[in-house]
Amino acid sequence: MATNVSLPHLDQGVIQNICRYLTVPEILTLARVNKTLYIYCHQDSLWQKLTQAAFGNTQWVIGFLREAGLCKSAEDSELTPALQSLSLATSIPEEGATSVVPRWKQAYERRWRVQNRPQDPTVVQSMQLAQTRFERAEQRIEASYEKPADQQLAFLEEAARELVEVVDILSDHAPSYYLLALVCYLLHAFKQASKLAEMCLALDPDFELAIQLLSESRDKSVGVYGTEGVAPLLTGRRISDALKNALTVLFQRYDRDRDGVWNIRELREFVLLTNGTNPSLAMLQQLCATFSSQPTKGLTFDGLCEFFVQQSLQDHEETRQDLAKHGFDENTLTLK
Amino acid sequence: MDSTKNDTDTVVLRCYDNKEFVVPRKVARKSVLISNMMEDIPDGSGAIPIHNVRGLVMEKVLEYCTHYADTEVQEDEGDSDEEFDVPARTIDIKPWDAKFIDVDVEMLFELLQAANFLEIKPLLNLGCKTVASMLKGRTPEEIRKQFNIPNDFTEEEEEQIRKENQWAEDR
Repeated sequence: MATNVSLPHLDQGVIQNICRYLTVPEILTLARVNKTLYIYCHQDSLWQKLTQAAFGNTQWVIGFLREAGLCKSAEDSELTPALQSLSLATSIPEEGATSVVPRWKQAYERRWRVQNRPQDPTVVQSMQLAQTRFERAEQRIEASYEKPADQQLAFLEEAARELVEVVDILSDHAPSYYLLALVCYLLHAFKQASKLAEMCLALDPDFELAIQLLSESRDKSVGVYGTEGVAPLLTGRRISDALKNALTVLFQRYDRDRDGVWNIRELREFVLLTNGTNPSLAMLQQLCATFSSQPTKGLTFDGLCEFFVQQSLQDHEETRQDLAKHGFDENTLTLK
Repeated sequence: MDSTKNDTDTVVLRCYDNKEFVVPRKVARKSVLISNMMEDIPDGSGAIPIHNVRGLVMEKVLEYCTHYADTEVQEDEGDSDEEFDVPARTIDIKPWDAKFIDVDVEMLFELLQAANFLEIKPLLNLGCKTVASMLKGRTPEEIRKQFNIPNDFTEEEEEQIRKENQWAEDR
């Protein structure tokens, strides 16, 4: 045993490790040596790594979007939507070694052509398609501004999907990463927005809009999700323990009759002390109608938390200033 | 159990051709496989069988493990399994490693298989780099010749593959 080993007798994993040190033309040369090496050099897992090394990893982008609450339906797929839609009907030769057509190799080729053969008719075509998709995404984002919150998500989802397809083909298309960052920002996913804005700036350091978006996203991200010395207002989309503790103190303080609900009078006192102006009855009723409350009795603690979650997403500074007016430290959210 | 004492102890490895090696534990531990086996097999229960490696190759493997016995395994950057780096045009091999791996092709491949089987990642990478450097800049025919590989493609298949991969050729 083992006295007559040569290259084709090595484990597939070993061959893949060897390919780590080869260029793509060198790997394709190796594939021409014999049938076994052809198969080894056409493994999907190998080309997935090569593609991601050379053109970046669309999976990261999709990961950020999922964290922001988008692209949920693609959850179980390992491949990008773009790759899934890729037709498998590529001419498959007769049986034997030459019948392996890895999708990731095609993905590599597609992207390689875009970067190296911009004159090819297929490349020109896919560039045009990408441009169309990009414009459609821009329109969807634009349109989302005028929609109520519940419809906004659908528009942003559509935009994100178009953009993922664009960056899957044009992996160095900075404006698409900017728009993806903007989509996350609009969904209050500030961390993800920062990451995507960074990707945009890695490709084009002078992208003015992305610079602004990055600084705003970072600011919001710190303001909302905290950092060292700054307690978070939220964890994910939910209220943080620190904010909840502070609101518990506040709720008890102004629940003068100790019935577990803020009636209109109690609510009025809180708003007056917070905003410095006497609120109208209509505004107080509106608050009770929008957030959790007990009919005829008033706003519940859950309702108060809901209000602050929403306000924090819109304007984290206002939440911190509100708490400061009631004697809390803006950063630690504890009583001074 | 006193692990410091164990490090001075030895362990017996028996290859499939019955050749046995008495090896300090810290040397044997360079192999993830043997290291795991040492944990599973109680002390003094005899030789650890290494079925897939013959004595001559084991000797060479142990030369490597002994040389690096006191070196902590440091994963070179880009040596993780998960991601590739864009491959370098040139391959760097340390002087001692280069001298060590300067063996005939047959031994090289057996070393690769042994390193893979025994899970000695740095040795596996060294072997892979060495093979890769032998492949760089060669034509398929030159590779076949060097490694004594028969061409099992028909002419039509060769033509088909050539067409398939034409895109990657430098123009």
